Amino acid sequence: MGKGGKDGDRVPAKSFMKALFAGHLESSMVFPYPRQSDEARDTLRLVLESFRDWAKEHLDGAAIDHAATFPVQVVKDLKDLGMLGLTVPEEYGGAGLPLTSYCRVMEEVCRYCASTCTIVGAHLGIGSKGILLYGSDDQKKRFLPLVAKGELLAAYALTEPTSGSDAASLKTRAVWDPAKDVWVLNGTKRYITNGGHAGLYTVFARTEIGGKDTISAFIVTRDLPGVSTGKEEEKLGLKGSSTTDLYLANVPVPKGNLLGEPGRGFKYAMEILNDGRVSLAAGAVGGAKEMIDRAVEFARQRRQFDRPIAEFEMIRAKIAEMVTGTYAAESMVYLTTGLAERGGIDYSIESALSKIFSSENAWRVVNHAVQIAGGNGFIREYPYERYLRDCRINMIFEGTNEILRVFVALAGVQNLGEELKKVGQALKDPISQIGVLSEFAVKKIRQAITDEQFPDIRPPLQKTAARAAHYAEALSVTAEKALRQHGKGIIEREYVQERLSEAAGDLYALIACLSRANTRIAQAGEASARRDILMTRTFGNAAWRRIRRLLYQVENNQDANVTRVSDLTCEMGGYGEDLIG
Amino acid sequence: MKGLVLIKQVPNTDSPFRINSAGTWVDESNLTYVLNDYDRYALEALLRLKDAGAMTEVVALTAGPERASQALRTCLATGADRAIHIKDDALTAAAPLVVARAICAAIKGEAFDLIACGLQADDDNHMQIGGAVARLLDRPCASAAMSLELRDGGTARVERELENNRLQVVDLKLPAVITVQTGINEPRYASLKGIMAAKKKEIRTVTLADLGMGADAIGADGYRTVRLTPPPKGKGAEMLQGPADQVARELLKRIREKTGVI
Repeated sequence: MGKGGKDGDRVPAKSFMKALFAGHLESSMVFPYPRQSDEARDTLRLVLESFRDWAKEHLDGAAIDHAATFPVQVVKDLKDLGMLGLTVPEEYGGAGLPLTSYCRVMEEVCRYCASTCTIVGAHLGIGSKGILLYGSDDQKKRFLPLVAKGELLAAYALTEPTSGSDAASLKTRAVWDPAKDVWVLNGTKRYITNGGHAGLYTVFARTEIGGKDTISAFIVTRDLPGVSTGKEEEKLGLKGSSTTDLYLANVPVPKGNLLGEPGRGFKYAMEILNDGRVSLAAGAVGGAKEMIDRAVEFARQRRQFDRPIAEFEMIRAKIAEMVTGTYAAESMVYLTTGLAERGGIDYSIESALSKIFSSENAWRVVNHAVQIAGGNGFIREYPYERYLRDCRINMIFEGTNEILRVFVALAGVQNLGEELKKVGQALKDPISQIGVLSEFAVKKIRQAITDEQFPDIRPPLQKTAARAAHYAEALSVTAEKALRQHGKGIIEREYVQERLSEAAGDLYALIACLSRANTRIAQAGEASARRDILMTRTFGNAAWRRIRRLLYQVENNQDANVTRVSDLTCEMGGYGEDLIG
Repeated sequence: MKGLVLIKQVPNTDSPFRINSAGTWVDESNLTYVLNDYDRYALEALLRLKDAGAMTEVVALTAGPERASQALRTCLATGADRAIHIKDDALTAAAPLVVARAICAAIKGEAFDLIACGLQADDDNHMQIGGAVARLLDRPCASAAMSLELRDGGTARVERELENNRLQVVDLKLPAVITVQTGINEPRYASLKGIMAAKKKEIRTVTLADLGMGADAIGADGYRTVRLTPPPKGKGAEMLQGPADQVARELLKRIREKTGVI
C-alpha cells in the first residue's frame, strides 16, 4: 500500500507503527498529542456551529432512511452552505480545511445521518481526492472549483464485479487512440458510492505503458459519451446514499484527463484511500457517540425494579465498554490526522488501524445501545436499528477489515525484515534470508531496543505506559519470531496476520489514549484530566490483556483444527448432517 | 444607512448548569457557549435590509469577557461587516444599565440609524439592554418586533407582538432601537465562504477603562446580585405510567380538572 508523502516510494517516509513493529518506540512522533492552531480551531468551531444550526432543522436522518432515496434537498443545502468544498483549497473556491477539521466535521455529520456522511465522504474523501493529490494545475483549475461548489458531485470508481479486495485484478481497460488523441475506456465498476448522482468519477483502469501492463487513473466526467450508471442498489443501510454500477462503453477520455503519471494508478488508488479511511473512522466515532448519548439518556430514564436501568451492573458494563472504546477510537483518529498533517510521515498503517478499530467499535457500541434500549432497540420508530444497519458497511467498504489486517501485518513485518537484514549486515553476518538469521544477531538487536519507554509520563499513567511499552516490545519480538519461522510464507499465514494486526491495533489505540491523557495532564493539570486518566487506564487494562492473549496465541492455538473444520464444512457444502430429522 | 446589532454570548442550554461556589452565578467551567438565539434573528433582520440595499453596513457589538469574541466571529461569518467587543470580565456580573452605558460609550461618534438586539438573553432574561440603550441615546424603541419595514420619510414600521395573538403596528422615527422576537424571519446559516471571509474582518476591542468606566462603574446603578438558587423543589410531582394513549387521556383529564382551560 501507499506511503503518506507524495514521493513516498523514493524516500521512505517515517512510520510510527512500522518502527514499532521493528522494536523502536518513536515516542516523539506521537507525544505530545497533536493540537490544532487557534485559528484552525476557531474556523472549525464556526463550521460545526453553522452545520449544527442547519442540521437541527433540516437534516433528518430517520426521514432520509425511510424515504430510501438520495436526499436531493439536503445535498443542495450542503452545497449552499459550502460543505461540499470543505477540504478543497481556498484558491479553488473551497474552505481548505485540514484533515483533522474535516474528520471532526464528518463525525458531526454522521451523528445526524450516516447516508449524508457517506455522500460527502465519497465526494471529498475519495471521489475528488485524486485531483487534489495528483492533478495537474490545469486539472485542478478545471475541476476543483466545480467540485467545491458542488456543481460536480464526485465518486471513486475502483471496485468491479470480479475485483474487490484484490483491487489490482481490475479488468476495466483504457486504450490509447493516437488518431483521436483520447484514451478509450471500457469496463464495469460496481458499488460506486454517489454513482447515480455524480458528475465526475475517478476511474482506475488497466493501461499498457511502455509494453507493461499497469493501472492508470482517469478523470471521467458524466457528459462523456458512453458513460452510464445502473439501477440504484437496495441496501441494508445508508439507504439515502446512491450506490450503482458505472458502465464505460468506448468512452473517449481526453488526454488531459489522465490523472498524474500513467502506470501509477494503483499506488494512487491506495493512497487516496488512506485519507478516506481515517475520515470514515471519524464518521464511525460520530455514530458511536450519538448512540452512547441516546443509550445513556434511555438508561437513566427507563426504570425497572424501581431503579433506572443505568444502575444495573450489566448495563454499566456496556456503557463503560461503549465509552472507553469510543474514547480510544477518537484518540486514534485524531492522532492519525495529526501525523498526516505534519507531512513527510507514512500514516498508512495508522489510518488502516483507525478504520478497523473505529468501525468495529461502532458496531459493538450500536449493538450495546440496541440491547440497552430493549424492545425499543428493534423498533423502527427509534434510532437504534437505523444506526445498526448504517454502521455495518464500515467494516466492509474502503478496504474490508480483513484485507486491511493483512496489509497492517505484512507492512509491519516487511519493515521488520528490512531492519533485521540491516542489522545482520552490520554484524558482518552474511545473511541473505531472514529465516536463517542467527539467534546471536537477534539478541544484539534486542539489546539495542529493549527497555525503551515513553518519556515524561505523569504518575497516574506510569503503570499503563509501562505496560504499553512492554507489549510494544512483545509485539515486535512475536512478529520477528513469526517472520523467522515462516519467512516469505508469512504472506499465507492469515491466522498470524490477524493476531499481529489485532495486537497492533490495540497497542496503537492505547498509545493514542496515553498521549492524549498525558498531554492533557501536562497542559491542564491532573484535576482537569481526571476523565482522560480514567478512560486510559480502563481501556489500557482491557487492551493489554487482549494483546497478551493474542501474542500468546500466535504460537499456542488450535489453528489446525480451525482449518480442518472450515475445510470440512466447505467440502460438505454447508452445515451438513441434521441432528434430529 | 448603518445598522448595529447588539449581541450576547450565552451558555448553551444543553450545558450542565451548576451554581458557582460564591452562589452568585453559574459555574462556568463546564459550559459551552453560543450566540444568543434571539440575537440571530436581530442580526438577520439587519442583514436583510443590507441585502435589499437599504443598509450599507451592519456592525455587531458585544460586551463580555474574552470568549465573547467567538459570538462576534459567528456574526461576522454570518454576514456582519465588522465588530466591536467591549472586553471586560467584570461585565458578566454587571447590571443591564451599566452594560447599556458601556455600549453607548463604545459607539460614541458613530451614527447608527437602526440598532437591533434580541428580545432577551437566554441566560439572564433581563430584556433591558434595548430599552436602556434607547433611553440613554434618547431614541424611540419598539420591543418584541415581529416585522420590520423601512418606509419613506426616515421611519421604520414595526409590528410588535402582544399577548393573546395581537400585533401592534408602530412607526419609529429613525434613528431608533428595536428588540426582536424570534419568528420575525428565518436566520441564515454561516456559509463556509462567510466563515473564511470573516477571518479578514475587523473586531475592534475596547475595555471599560478605555471607555472611562472604572471598576466602581459595575454595580453603580444600585443593582446587585445577592444569590442564585434553584427554585424550591415542588411537591406532588406524579409520573403517569402506562401505554401512551392511556397516559394522554389521563393527562387531559387532569388538565381539565385543574385548570379548566380545555
